[in-house]
Amino acid sequence: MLDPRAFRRFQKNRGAVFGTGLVVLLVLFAVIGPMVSGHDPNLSDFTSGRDPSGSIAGPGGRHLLGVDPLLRDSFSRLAHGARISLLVAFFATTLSIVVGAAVGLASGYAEGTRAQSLDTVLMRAVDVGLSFPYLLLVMAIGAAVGETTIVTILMVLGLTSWFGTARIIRSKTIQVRHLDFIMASRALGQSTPAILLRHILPNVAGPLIVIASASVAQMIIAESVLSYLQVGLPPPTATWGRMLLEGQRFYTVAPRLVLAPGVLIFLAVLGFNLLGEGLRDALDPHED
Amino acid sequence: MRSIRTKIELLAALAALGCSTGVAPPIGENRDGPPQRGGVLRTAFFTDVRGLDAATAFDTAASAIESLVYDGLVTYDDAGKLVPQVAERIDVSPDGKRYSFPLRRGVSFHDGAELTAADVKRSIERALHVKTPCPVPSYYERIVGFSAYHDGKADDLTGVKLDGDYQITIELTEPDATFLHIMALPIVAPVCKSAGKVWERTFASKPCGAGPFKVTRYENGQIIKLVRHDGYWDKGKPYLDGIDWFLSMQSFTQRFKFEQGDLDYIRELSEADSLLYRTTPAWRGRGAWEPSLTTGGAFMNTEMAPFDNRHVRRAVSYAIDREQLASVRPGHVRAHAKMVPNVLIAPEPGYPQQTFDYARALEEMRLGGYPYDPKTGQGGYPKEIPYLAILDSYAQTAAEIYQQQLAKIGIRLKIQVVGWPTFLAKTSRRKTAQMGFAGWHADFPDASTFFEPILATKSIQDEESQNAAFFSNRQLDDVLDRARRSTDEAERKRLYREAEDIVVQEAPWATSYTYSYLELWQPYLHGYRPHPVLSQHVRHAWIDGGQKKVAARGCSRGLRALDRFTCPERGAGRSTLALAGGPR
Repeated sequence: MLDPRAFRRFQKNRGAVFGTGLVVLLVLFAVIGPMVSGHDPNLSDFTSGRDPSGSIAGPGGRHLLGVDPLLRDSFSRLAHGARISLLVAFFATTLSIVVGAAVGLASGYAEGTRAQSLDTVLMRAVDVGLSFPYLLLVMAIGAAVGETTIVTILMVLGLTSWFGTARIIRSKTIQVRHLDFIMASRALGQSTPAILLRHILPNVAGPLIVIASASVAQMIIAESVLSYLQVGLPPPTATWGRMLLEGQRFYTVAPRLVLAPGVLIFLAVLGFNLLGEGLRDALDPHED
Repeated sequence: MRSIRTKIELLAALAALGCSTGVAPPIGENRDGPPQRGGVLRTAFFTDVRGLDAATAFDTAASAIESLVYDGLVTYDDAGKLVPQVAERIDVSPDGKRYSFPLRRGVSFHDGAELTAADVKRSIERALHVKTPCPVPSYYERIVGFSAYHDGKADDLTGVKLDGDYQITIELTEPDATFLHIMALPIVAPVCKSAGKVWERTFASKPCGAGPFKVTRYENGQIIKLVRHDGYWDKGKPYLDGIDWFLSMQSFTQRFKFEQGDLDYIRELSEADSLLYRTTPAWRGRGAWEPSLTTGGAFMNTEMAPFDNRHVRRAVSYAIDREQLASVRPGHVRAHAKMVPNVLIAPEPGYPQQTFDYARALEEMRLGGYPYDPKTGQGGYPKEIPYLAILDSYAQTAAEIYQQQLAKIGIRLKIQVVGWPTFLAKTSRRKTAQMGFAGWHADFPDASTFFEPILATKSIQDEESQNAAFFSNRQLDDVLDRARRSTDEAERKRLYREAEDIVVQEAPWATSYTYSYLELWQPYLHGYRPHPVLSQHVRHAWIDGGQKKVAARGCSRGLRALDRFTCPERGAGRSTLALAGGPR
């Protein structure tokens, strides 16, 4: 997928390497963190209770990063929050990319042909989707679905975020479609699906990868926002957005409860954005 | 050099603004002296006040303001004892079925009209009229002629009689030990003639009564401005010129306005801010906890599986460790395992209470047909049970702890966090909510208020049911009826003990905790202590004008981090948490 020149360009980009490092560390934290902590993220440790004045136990002792106001292990909750954030972000992005690419390819390939009406319908649908305030749409769907699970969250996020992808892939498809090798394929009698999948898709893969990496960051933020607004996963599920919400009430007495999830969201978004920018630069032939 | 250092300090102070964790010390000092007249008290509510019509507005926020705007026939003195208010005295017939209230002369409404017995009868009839959405008409069902009048079959409430212009007599069908308490509720307080004979929506925003303050401005979500009623019957009172009650003000904002001297009294501190004040030396010994007349826990819908099974309900009540619930919010929450708060009936040894007994909980699950093996995690109730909790409240915190505790007996809760209106709609509809937060605040200081409105059969309705557990128990109904009829305090106490025992055995509620608020006021505000019955009862408060000027000079109004430069007396009062460099 990545030719050696692009790989070299990527390696030379310090920001991209730093971003990749952050993403790798985040994935490791999500995978290994819950095993390292040894605490159930949803179980209170009443033995490390709050003192009579109500102060919350800070880092140290049995709890690496202390406990939250409900006496649950903060480290464990952060690690589980990372799992959920990454899981939702990866799958929602995959869904968004698949739907966006399919619509973009179909629309772009139909543009200016006898199937022009397909392009028109799909693009107007995209216009409608883009005209809705994204968060409002997500919250409305979430409220309508009622029971919020990890599957509903990633479906809602994935199915409401493909519009931009479809636009970009459509214009790229229109560009590629007029190239000689596509004309040759058609002249040789290849079917439309085969041309789309074998010839056009690989040529629009670069932008797709870049969109995907940036989209993961957006999904992490979107999931955190939903949790923060209490329309995401129900309690006691540990998510960074919920931890931020629960911690903000205690920012005067235990700032770590806000800082920890806040910093993790920041680092995750930074990591995926740097990675995305690095990929964009690496895949851009003009960079040479 | 000095200038540079000052600038550096100034910058450091400004930087500290963003991360300061301390609270400002109190403004002014307590000084002995006679009450002073004058000044405007400023305070705030987290919520809005939807209306101030005495007959319909019954929530905590509205009631606090209503107690300033309306005077009733009777009220509570500072010790929480029932005393006459616009009545001169209370005469009760030997059989307890006839109450006479001779009225004070010279009591005037805010519109200047004199209060007479006819106004009292008109106000009671208006409150209990069929068209008035009175929240608790059944409290008054023992007044002779109530049913006919409330059903719209009679033009007047025959049990309420005028004995001339200045005496009113109320006849009851049977003795009612709670009668004077329900007459102290603002619902039946005399209202001006402008209120009309029948309820009209407009009066809610233009209230008019005979209380010590009158409303001069009412903007929903913004402010209610009260000024002294100069024709108030209790000469020399109130001391305050007025009260500015801000509405819909976040607790966070309340705290900072209080620190800056823009609010004189606050009650709705967040848990973290309450913690800060409690650990700040300058505030030690100041403020007070409001007496808790609240019982909190979880209801179990006895008409829905699995809680139609008595053993499962009992299992839940035995599985809840109430001390754990209290441990996550020390100070505000106390473990509590009976319906009636300890303030009203202190538990003696052997008093029936729900208890934490894990082995017993497992045994009840087995008896209920859902045996659970904690070692293997096998068994228990096979389905997840939705648990309704209220958004951003301690009820949500409690739900998360219940979830952990009940999982140990094989009951899996799925928490559904909803807003207050949704919560009310779902829990008050028949066969809709299986389990959820249950809480009750006393309408008046009597044990009956913790049973009749929420656990008696007559409080069940298909819609708008106060009895969220839809619990119907003939034995309990009978005990409650007898207790309300009895005028013998010892007998009543025994009967409510019996009622508590029925609740322990049947467990429609798993009672778990009681909640208190920390109230704070600046030292220049005098004459205020949390009242044993009436919430935020500031009618006798007064302001030490001299002390309050300290605030006006700018010490409290400036940026707190700059106080060391502008207000030397402020610099010393940082909190122990701040001194320790952060949370412990």
